[in-house]
Amino acid sequence: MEKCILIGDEIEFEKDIETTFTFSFLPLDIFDNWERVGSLSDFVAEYFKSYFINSAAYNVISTVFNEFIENAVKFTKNNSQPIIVTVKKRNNYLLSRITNTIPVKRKDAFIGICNELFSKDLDTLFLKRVEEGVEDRKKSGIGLILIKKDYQVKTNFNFFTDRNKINNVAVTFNLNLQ
Amino acid sequence: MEIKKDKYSVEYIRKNRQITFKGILRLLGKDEYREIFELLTQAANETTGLPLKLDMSALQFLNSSGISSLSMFIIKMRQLDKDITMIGNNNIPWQEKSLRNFQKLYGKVEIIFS
Repeated sequence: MEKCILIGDEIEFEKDIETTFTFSFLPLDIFDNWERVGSLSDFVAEYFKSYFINSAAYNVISTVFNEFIENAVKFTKNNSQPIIVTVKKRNNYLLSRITNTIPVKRKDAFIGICNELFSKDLDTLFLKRVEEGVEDRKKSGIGLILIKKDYQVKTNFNFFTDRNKINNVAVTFNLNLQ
Repeated sequence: MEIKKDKYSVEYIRKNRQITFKGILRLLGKDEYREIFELLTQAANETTGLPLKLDMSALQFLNSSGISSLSMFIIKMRQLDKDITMIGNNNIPWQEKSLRNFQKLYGKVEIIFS
């Protein structure tokens, strides 16, 4: 198996978990009806909000999951290959890991985006990306910047090749809902 | 003039120089926001002297593609040297956390939280 590439924050995903659940879905169902991303995000928010005193929990959970799920769908290689979402709760945190396939030809670009997220000032990066978007409407990529910058979400990206030699990325994040 | 869909509406009232967003805006990408962008551009072209008001206070969610599209509009206003007032709701987390980004793009964006 090819060596994995891990970029980003250190997150303890396994230990001291109070509760967890996992679901999977097919990207093709999302492309069939884009509103399903919002439905999935709202479901996660509704499921977990009562664990937290923070009155903003529902809106924040839904917003953050919506961005990560949108990203997973947009970067996926195979629309018929499930995207797997695991959510865990620990203290005042939600931890999640979203795993999807990625096309070989986009892997290096994605790694570049991730490296920028952890090496540059996020306000500067936000402004740069937006200005680039004026020149080229297809460019955007501010979702991850906003989630890290405005919601202080810890994140890491694990690029790995599975036993079928398919490229995958597992995006793990830690959302503080105190 | 109004764009009205199941999940959201965007209404432009010319005499008030105001555009009101309501609901949930989570469209697929910037191209999906083109209709809204065109409405905003029309409002910008028709507004002179006083600020154009964008009332976001009833917009529960806006995804990053929407923030990106709105940012492009803010840059357009910067190019036209026109003023904008954004009316936000600090009980809605995305607004409390992300609206200030628009000020970083253009110093003439005023944000008022209701």
